[in-house]
Amino acid sequence: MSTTSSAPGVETHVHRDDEGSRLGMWLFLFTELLLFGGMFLVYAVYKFTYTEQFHLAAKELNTLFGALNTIILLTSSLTMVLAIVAIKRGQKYLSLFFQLMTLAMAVGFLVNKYFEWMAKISHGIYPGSEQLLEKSNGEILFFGLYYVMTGLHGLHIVIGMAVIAYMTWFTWKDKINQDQYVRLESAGLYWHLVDIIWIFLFPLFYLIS
Amino acid sequence: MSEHNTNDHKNHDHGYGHYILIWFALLILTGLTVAVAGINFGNLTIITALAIASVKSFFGVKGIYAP
Amino acid sequence: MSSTTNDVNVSYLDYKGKHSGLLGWILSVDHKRIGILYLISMMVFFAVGVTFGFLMRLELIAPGRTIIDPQTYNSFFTLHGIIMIFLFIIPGLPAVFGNFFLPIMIGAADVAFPRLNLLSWWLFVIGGLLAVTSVFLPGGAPDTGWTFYIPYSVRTTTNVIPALMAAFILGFSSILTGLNFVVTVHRLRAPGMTFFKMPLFIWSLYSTAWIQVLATPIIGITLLLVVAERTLSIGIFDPALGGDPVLFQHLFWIYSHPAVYIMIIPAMGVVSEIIPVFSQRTIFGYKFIAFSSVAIAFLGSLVWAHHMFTAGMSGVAMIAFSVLTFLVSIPSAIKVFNWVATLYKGSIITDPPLLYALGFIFLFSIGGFTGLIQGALSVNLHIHDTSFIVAHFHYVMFGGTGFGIFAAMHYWWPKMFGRMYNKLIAKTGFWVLFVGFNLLYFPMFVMGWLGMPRRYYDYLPEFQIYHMLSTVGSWILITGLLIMFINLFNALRNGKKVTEENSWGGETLEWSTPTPPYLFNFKEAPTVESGPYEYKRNEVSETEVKEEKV
Repeated sequence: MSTTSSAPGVETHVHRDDEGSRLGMWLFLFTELLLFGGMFLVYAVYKFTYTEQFHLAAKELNTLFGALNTIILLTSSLTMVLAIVAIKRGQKYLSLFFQLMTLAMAVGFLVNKYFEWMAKISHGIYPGSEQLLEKSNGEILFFGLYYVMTGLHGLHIVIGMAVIAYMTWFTWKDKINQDQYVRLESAGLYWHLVDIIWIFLFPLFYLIS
Repeated sequence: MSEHNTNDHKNHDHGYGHYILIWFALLILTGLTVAVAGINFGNLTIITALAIASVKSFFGVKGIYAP
Repeated sequence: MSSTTNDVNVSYLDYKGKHSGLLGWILSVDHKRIGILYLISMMVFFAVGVTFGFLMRLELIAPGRTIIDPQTYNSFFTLHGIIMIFLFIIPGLPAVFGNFFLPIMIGAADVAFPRLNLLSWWLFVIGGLLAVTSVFLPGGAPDTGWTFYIPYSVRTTTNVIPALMAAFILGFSSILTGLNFVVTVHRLRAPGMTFFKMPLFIWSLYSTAWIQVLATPIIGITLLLVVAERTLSIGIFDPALGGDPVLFQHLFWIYSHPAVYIMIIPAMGVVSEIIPVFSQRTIFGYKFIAFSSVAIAFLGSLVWAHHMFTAGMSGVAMIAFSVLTFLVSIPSAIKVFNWVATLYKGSIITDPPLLYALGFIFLFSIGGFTGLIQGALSVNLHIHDTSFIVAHFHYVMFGGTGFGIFAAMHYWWPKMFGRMYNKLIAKTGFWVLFVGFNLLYFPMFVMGWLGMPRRYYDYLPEFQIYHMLSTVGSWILITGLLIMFINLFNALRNGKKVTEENSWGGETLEWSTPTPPYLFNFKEAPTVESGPYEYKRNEVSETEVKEEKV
């Protein structure tokens, strides 16, 4: 293969490619979707096998908790995207404010989740509990899936919070600024993914009674 | 150091209002999901709920990322 | 970066960065150093895996107990499988040679995300060490087989959770490598390097990277569900609570069958590089080979249930999966025909890399054909879970991918280290390895056909002759491995110094870099004008290139 020189000098290793970063992030989000996709597949199989018992079990869940958390997450997605708009316009402090709002709502989501789980556990409904084992197989599976899927989603919320907190620090230090905000965008994308997964979890667990 | 020219800012800068509208629409769709779930369509209930969820995701992603 | 041009125009082996010594390696974000890190760690794990395999074979030389008890035997085949699959075959080509050569062959200075690349290696090492420590933790070494089949993997008291977590972490490492490669191929090709001017090794890595990204998350979640099942007894796979163990098998193979192609496709890419160079002819059917990689990646994702024909499935599903399995052989055969057609009328130089590549074609063909035999439903019921299967996948994985890795080592060794090994010893090593390999695995076809089950500790006396042959084969094979590796590693110290850029007359970009490559690979950023296999020296091929263009 013949080669000729185009640019003089050696290309150094640290190069900036925002488009590449975005591509990488979207690919990563795909893998996350597939990770949850595996669980949605399992859910679909058992929902199909135990339709009636799933309906029965879903009655135990409190739609209010679920709906509230949906609203919280949707709103946090809004503040996240507004944080990006703000940084694009060079409004550092406004962006910081929106990022902190997002974090605050993430905490709110987790607190809500905590009370919801605790209520279930105090009623003796948790994997392996005697009360749950007395129920039908479909109900056992429903709650098994409920704890695993919302648990894994909760873990993603925590990871997302850590990432956003890190971005907030970068913004504070001006490492994220009007010219360089692709990291904040990527964090935002991740946060929206967490939101989208919840948008599907919510009807599948809370709205099938 | 080589310069990549792909790092230019996207020209299609949406304003704050645009996103607030999307957020508002998503909230309405959420309300709709909950309301529809109350009606018994039999097997269709879950399909409706998932359809709305899909619309929400599509709408959200498009609203945020499309030019 | 503050460094001047002069600073980086040194061999990547000699470059002194922020850290020096060992830290300069294990914290380096240079893709070549990371490739070498993978090479070293992979070789260590390979040695461990070979040792387990050797001991298993020794145990099976005679019926009844020979050297180890049944429980130890079970953990040996489990760890042999986990180590060989997750720590040798899967990372073998993408992580070692992909890391080292993918950026160079597309004319880039590094991968798209160098720091992510280093993270992948760290995850790889952590996962690998976790897998190995699971042997020593209280509770006993895992004994489930590398497939972790439910319900045994939930019931057994051995250290299954560390092994599962190890596989999960290794999967994550694999995803990050795949993601990095996809973005690198899309974003960092040199000016003029269109997709159809990419070397075929890059095409194979690109297809592989997509499978890594798309299939690995499924195994990740499946393994996590087994962990949840063991710790919380959520019931998803437990029939007593309404779960379905066969669902686990589906989820497992949805990843693990495509994973087979993660293992084999890059090896095919290596062979596609070596064959044209050592016959000094342009590759026959470039686009067919390129697209067949993609076709294998696609079809390979749809055949997972052929591992489960005896597990309970509808007749229609079985026929569909059987037909799809047959279809995968088409793109594989296209590659083999194209390689053979490339060799035809070429001026063939039988240097060690070509020998290993030819070994690949021969052994992979046997493995592939026996795969077709198993894809047929009626035969499958007869040979399911026999040593016929073991022989088949060793022919494909070891005879195929393993030989592909060895071929890559012999092909790129002088470029990577600037030292040439002794070619005569390398050839001797190949023949010993080749004879040992066939003696080790061919008897397994025969005894499997006669009914010898796989994974059994004990067997009927009539099978002993085959087991004996096989065990003797394992000794010859290990001798061959030792000859090969000692020769390669000896070359690092005592081998003839290589200074010329092009050791074999290759036309791909890595042969236009200094030997060993500079820190940022090229003296000057390359621009590509012609395809990867357009040989000028050989007149026969030149006329044929012209013919092809007409």
